[in-house]
Amino acid sequence: MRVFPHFVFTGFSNCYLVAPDGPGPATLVDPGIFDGELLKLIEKNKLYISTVLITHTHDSHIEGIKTLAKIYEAGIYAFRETVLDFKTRVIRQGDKIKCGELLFEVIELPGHSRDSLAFKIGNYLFTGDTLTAGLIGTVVHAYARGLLISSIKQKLFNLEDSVYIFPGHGPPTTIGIERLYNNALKQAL
Amino acid sequence: MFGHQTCEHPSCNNTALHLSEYCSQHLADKQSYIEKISAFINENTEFYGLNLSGITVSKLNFSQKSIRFCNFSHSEFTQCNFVKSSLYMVFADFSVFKSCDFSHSSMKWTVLSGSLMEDCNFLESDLVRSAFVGAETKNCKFNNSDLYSSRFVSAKLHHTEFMDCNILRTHFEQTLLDEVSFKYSNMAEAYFDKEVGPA
Repeated sequence: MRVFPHFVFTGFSNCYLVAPDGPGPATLVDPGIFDGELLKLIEKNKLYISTVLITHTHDSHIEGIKTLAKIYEAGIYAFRETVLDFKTRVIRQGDKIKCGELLFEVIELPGHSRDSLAFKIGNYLFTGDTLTAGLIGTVVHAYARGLLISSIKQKLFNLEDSVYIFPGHGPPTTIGIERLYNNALKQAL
Repeated sequence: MFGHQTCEHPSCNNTALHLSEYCSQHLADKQSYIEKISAFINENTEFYGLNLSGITVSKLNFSQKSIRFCNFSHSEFTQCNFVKSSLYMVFADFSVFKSCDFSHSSMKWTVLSGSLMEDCNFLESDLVRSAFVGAETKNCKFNNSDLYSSRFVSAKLHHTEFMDCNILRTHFEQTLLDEVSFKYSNMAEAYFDKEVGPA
């Protein structure tokens, strides 16, 4: 399996192309943009997008769906029933999503937003804005912050230190790094 | 992505090192492995999907080489030359870099979190969207570099220079700044001492 990060310059966010080792169906996580560079990356590797996974429905993570839908007939998986007027396949905690040989597991992580999800495949975890390198996601009030922190502690910190995290903003990290250095989470322990 | 083969030592689940059937913990002859991997690095210019986790090397020449999707975690590099190298999605967390030169390098989506960097140069480099979370620097120079969207959260920076750097959206929250210079850098556009997550 391969993971290609793609910087979404309009929303300063990250989109990820998750692909098998060879050609075939691939997954896009959080298409905040769908531009020529991303299309070239997909085509050059003889891939096609069959699955779109949405960690949450903030604009910088979904705007590319409009262009993508004109090129690929991909299933859109999200917590909400619609994203930008596109009907989705609604997913919840523990659901599995198959894309060719790739199998993603859904983890619900409310806090940054009500619809926040993470997707785990093997040793790789896509956390959206819930957990990024050294930081936790922004929240609108204290209750949401508590919810976010408890979501991370219960559902992510039970994973091994070696799990790679690919967040919605900024550089990648690992569970081990966050356990040691994420101050918001350490203070809450 | 970072090596496929599992270590052949019974009951070990670690990924085997590149050009070996074992992980660094179960290498029978570490010295001959270091010689073999050093020769491999010297002979090649492009590296993809290498696992070199847990090795100790010195005076290796990575200059002008492309390193993509590699795992250098828990390793030790002394006097290694990374000048004009290109690192893309490289995990070098919890590693030690002593007297290494990364000047004029390009580092994207790269992780040096939890690492110790001593007497290292990162001059005139593109260190974009890279993680130095919890890292410790001593006598390091990042002058004239682009650190856009990189993160030094919880890092300990001693006698380190960030002169004339682009630190737009660079995070320095909870960072120990001991004799650190940001002269001519755009400090107002970086995040200091306040917990700020993504929008």
